[in-house]
Amino acid sequence: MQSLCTITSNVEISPGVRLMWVEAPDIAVAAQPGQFITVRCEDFMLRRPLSIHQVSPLSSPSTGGEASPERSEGTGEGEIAILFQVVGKGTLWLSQRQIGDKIDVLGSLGKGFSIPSGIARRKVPRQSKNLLLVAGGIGIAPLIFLAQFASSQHSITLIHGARTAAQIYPLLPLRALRSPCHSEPFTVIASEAKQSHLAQDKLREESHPSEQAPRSNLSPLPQEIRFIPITEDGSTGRKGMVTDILPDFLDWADQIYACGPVDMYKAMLELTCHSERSEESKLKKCQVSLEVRLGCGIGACYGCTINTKGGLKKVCQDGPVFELDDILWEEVRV
Amino acid sequence: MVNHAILKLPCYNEVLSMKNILDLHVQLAPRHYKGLILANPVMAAAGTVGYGVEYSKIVDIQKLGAIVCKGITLMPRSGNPQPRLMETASGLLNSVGLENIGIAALLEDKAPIWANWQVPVIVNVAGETIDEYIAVASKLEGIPGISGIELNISCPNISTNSMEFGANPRLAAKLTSAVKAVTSLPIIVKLSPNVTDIKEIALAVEEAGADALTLINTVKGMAIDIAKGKPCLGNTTGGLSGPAIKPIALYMVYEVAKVAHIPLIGCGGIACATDALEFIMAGASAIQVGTANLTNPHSSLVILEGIADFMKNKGITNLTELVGVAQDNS
Ligand SMILES: Cc1cc2nc3c(=O)[nH]c(=O)nc-3n(C[C@H](O)[C@H](O)[C@H](O)COP(=O)(O)OP(=O)(O)OC[C@H]3O[C@@H](n4cnc5c(N)ncnc54)[C@H](O)[C@@H]3O)c2cc1C
Ligand SMILES: Cc1cc2nc3c(=O)[nH]c(=O)nc-3n(C[C@H](O)[C@H](O)[C@H](O)COP(=O)(O)O)c2cc1C
Ligand code: FES
Repeated sequence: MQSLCTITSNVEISPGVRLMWVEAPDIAVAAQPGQFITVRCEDFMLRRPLSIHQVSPLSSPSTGGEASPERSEGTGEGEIAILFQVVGKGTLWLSQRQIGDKIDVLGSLGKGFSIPSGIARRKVPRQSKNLLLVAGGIGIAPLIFLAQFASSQHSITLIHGARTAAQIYPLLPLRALRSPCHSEPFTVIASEAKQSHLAQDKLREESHPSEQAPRSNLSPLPQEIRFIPITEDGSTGRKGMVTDILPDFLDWADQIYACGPVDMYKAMLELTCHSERSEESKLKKCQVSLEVRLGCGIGACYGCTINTKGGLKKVCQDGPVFELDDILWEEVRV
Repeated sequence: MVNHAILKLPCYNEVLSMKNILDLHVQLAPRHYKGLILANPVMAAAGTVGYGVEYSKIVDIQKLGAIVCKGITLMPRSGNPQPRLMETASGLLNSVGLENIGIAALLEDKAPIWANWQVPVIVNVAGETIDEYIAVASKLEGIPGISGIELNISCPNISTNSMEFGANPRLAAKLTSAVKAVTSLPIIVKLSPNVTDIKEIALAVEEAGADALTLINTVKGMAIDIAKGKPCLGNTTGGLSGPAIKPIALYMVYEVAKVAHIPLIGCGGIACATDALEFIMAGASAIQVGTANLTNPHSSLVILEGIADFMKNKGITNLTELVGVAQDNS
């Protein structure tokens, strides 16, 4: 659970946002989308919680069977990625770590998103579901993992809202992102799904024209996923907030997953509440990842408790993923 | 007690031969008819490792001297509003507010697990009235898996007059003897630093029958969010812990050790073996690690190893030789 993990890559992918890969084979095999790790930052009292952003498990299980997986050097296997925004002293310290440095990681922690199995109980067997992923800003972090995890069984639309184009998640091939000398911020931002995939293809070709890319070198988003950027200044995608376009997708979506600021959740609550199709409330189907200040991260210190309709819950253990309508939002003060 | 001789370094062969005979045992309740023997002096402080069960998945907590569980009250408590935690310079403010599962759930869900552990579990008991403390303590009587009671007369996070127990020697003594009367378990009283004269309280509860004393609980404090112009913690005030309070705690142990006749457990800002040894040399027989568990779940075990290494290096075979040496040398 707790281990010293070697950093294999640490790149600024948009202003103030870093993508870091670390060797963590045990976490890579076991992690579920929505789960998080905590990282000890310098001498700070509290470890910093960060969502698991991507995993790159070992492609072939080790022959030892029971033994913990071993990774071969340089393949990128047995690694996990975190995507974090530099907001304070802990994340600043983390952003300054170099390739080869070791960081103290505890994880994977918490209860992640629950994903429909892909087998509908009702009429059609093996029916895939429409999953709507809603990311506000750095809230994209756990949703990329979720998209990767669920894309083979479900149709996925991922809306990413940010202030401006530079903050939209770049759909670059991982190879490019993993290179330590990558410094220019990504500029080719597609405004709609198709374009975005074209851009992805183009970039993928540019990065490694002919080689058969192994899994870890693929773009972070599988092709089938519809990626919709939206920016407050209109510099890419539509202009506005995620909640402005959310209503267009409510009928399409069977299940909504969201990660972003509390204000976004409160706005979503309004929207989903007043959705036309109230007979089957969308509220029941919206899972959100909640942030509060964590102490232990493992359910021991009661530092993270929130009140829900189902009683007191620990964000670190019962969450961080909760049903949107279970949370007593009027009590949430973060 | 020992003198300067302990600082003489033994030769390498001596160190080797001593490895196996290091005696880290601590008798925490010499006045108690059953006693309370810990395999080593490193304990987990109340509130930072929950009921121990959560940590046991990450750390081999059976190696610790003892575990003090989260403060327990008669009825479950829901605690204070968020935010409950706030980092400060070398410290942590918390206003958890004694959220806990209540004594009934503790007996049903946790005690049976503890009964299979070799590490002694001490239950931290809190309350708003003497009757509540008595009720909780009586329910712990005869329950397998529970080795002692730590009376929390000092939690700064509940808005009742329970703080008074910790600040008023007469009330503290009354509470101690009242609980003593209903339990056959050893009683440790955990003192508050938020008092004028901690020695007076220590002596009062010692007189009233306390078997040992833990010092200290958190120091009352607060932080203000200047952007919002309001207190950072949902409860406005909280308790400060971590390295920031270590000198305060150390001083209090040092002072109380001069007058007390029962074992002291040092607690407050202990984050490494050096910290722990300072407390032991000030007069503590054992130490508790709190906030450092949050920073690094393995810190208690690292501290234990560090204490053992120190003893080996200095050629000390019995931990008791170190207790209070700084008193003699000052
Ligand atoms: C389960 C969980 C998953 C998270 N996943 C991610 C992620 O994938 N990427 C990412 O960038 N961030 C994530 N966060 C938030 C991240 O933990 C904080 O941004 C980080 O701890 C700030 O540390 P700092 O030392 O840089 O900031 P500090 O100097 O401690 O604080 C700077 C600012 O950040 C705020 N802050 C500090 N800690 C938290 C916290 N735990 N939650 C919310 N706000 C906080 C403070 O209120 C302050 O305004 C997650 C939080 C949780 C609880
Ligand atoms: C999150 C948290 C919860 C705590 N809960 C309790 C408690 O329930 N009962 C108690 O007696 N002390 C409680 N304490 C105080 C600690 O046991 C300890 O006395 C204090 O934190 C000082 O030690 P430290 O600096 O090593 O943390 C708590 C401390 C923290 C940080
Ligand atoms: S952070 Fe300690 S219980 Fe959740």
